Amino acid sequence: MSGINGILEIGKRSLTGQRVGIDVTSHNIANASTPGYSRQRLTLQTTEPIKETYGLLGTGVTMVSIDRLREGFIDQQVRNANTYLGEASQQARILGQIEAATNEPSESGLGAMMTRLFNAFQDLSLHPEESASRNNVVQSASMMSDTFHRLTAGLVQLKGDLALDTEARVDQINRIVKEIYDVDQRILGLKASGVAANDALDIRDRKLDELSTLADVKVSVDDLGSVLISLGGMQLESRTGYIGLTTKTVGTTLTVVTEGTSIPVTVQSGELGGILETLNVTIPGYESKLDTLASALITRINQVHAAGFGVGNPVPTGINFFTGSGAKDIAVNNVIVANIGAVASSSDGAPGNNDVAVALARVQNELLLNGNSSTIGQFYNGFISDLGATVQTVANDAESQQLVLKQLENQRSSISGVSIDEEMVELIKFQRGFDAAAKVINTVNEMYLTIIEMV
Amino acid sequence: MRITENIVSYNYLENVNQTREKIVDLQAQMASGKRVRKPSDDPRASDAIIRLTQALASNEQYSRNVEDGRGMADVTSTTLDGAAELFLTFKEVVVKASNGSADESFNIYAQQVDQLLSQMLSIANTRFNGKHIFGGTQTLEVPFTLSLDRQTVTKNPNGVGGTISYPVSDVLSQKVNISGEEAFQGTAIFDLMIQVRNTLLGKTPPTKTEVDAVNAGFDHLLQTTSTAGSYVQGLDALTEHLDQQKTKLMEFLSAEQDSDLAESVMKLKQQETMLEAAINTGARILPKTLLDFLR
Repeated sequence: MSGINGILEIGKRSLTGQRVGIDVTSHNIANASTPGYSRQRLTLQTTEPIKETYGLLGTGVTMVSIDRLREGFIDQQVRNANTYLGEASQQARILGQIEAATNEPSESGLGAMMTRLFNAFQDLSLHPEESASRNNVVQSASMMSDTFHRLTAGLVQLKGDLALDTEARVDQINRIVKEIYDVDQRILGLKASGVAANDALDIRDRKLDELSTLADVKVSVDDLGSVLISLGGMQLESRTGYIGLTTKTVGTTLTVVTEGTSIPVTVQSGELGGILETLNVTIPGYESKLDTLASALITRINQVHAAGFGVGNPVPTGINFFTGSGAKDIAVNNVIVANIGAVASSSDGAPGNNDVAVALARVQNELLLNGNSSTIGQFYNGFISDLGATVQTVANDAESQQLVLKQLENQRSSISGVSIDEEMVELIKFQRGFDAAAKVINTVNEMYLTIIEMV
Repeated sequence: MRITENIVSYNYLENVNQTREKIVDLQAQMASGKRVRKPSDDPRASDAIIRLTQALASNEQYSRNVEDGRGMADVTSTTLDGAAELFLTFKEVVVKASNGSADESFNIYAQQVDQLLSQMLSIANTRFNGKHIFGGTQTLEVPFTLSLDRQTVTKNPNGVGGTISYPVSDVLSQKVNISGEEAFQGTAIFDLMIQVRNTLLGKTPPTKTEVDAVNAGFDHLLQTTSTAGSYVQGLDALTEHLDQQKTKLMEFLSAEQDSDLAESVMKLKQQETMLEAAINTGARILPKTLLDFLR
């Protein structure tokens, strides 16, 4: 197809090529800020040359494909970072709330309240005859009990919130998995017709990113280009279908199971993993520590108190100071609230005797906990500093994962992101190419005219 | 590395955010005056702060105990001083009466002794802060009662003995009272005074045994007075010790807890400068693309 017509054909192909180039460039510019978008490139190639006696004669340009620029390896790393970040940030959020609820160090935390009670016992030992000292003891003990209640109620409330959080996350996972399945079907359809579904792939990659924040999913791609998603060894999605998840309470543990068949699914990381870990392990641990503390206080104070005498006629004795058995129900005995004379201070009934008041105050220094190695104060301080150290660790984890993620996002953006500068250069390049191709056609036109005029 | 506009603006925002976060933290430190506001700010320091705060609260409580105890011991010591002085007068009367005198004088001496007996009883029933200081642990009941015929002094049937001690440290307690038993040997001091008065009323000088008993009684009162004085001294020493301890504890606490204002201000200035620089640079580079030059 050489000759003038051939040149015209080359010009036409060139015009189309440059126009599609501008098309792709403008698509890139339009999506420069679209989340998850990968820049696309038009791949041009020379058309089959014609063999002439003097050599191969070029026949112009053709468009091979429009490709997206994407690095699967970085995607995988981003998703891993998302998973860790999800776990650490949720734990930092939840434990931070618990830490704030303890209100330590301060004048109104449980530590200060316990110190206050023991000091009230000492004040009682100074003036065992005065009802003001007894009042002070009962007041301080009630305030301490209230603080115990406030802490445990806070934890119970938090567990309720976390159960709701868990359900919301599970619903989100179900929604995303379904969306990925739908996108997958579109990708497979397009692929069957021989076209790379660039934009659909971008959408799928973004959904997978979202999913990886929620849970530690494993993602692989099968030979047809559909993804396989599994969580804790359970296949959630493939090109043939998907399954949903739901929550189920087993004993006191909230677990994730498959919908309908109720097969347990282990979630170890991601936001969901982080929430489940705090809900099922960390918070019950804290609750049991508070219970241990309250129970030690109740048992020991009651033991000392019941052996003592209060004031009144008859002289009250053998009365327990606290009722209840743990942090939830510790309370000053109603008998004492009704008659503060029942607060014991004396070991023999003499009103000036302060032996029992002193013994009650000394409970503060007794090694009652951790296998008789810690005082009540030391045990509580240990609890608070453990909590503080854990919060600091998870917060640091979250921060460092955030940095890792930032680096990876930059790397990904460096490959897939749209650069306006670059697109401008492309635009100018294709525009000039378009101009030049038009010029070629113009030239051919003039050549025709020349030939016609010759006739 | 290929840099896109999104990387530039993302990093810019990230940096500005980080700087702002640090500024907010520094402002909170300066406003509260505290470097550690929650355990996770610095778990080690926070642990120390909680422990030091508790030690400080205990220290204040022990100081209060010592102060109260000192009041009690001081009143006891002063009152016993008065009792010893009174007994000295009694002793002088006894000495004068032993040296022989006219019949009328015995009557006068006997009246003097009877007067002194009343005063001694009133001393023995002294109250401080609503407590009978010589009642032992029976602080609410009158320790000693003189019969109507002024012939016998009886103790409170519930007793006038018993120790009152206040806690002054995590392990130590300090005795702060002298019981009626200790001070007046039960009712022996009063019995002796009654006996001598009756002897004098019989217009005879006190016997040798009586004089010896009076001397012994005086020695006993002096000794108890000095015991009470030693309690006061011991408690004074404790006050000093607790005060020193408090100063140290507050120093440690401040070192762990308080923010260094000068340092915070300096850091804040630094962060402010960084923020300004970041925003300034952002304003220059963010909107710039090739587009701006394609006119």
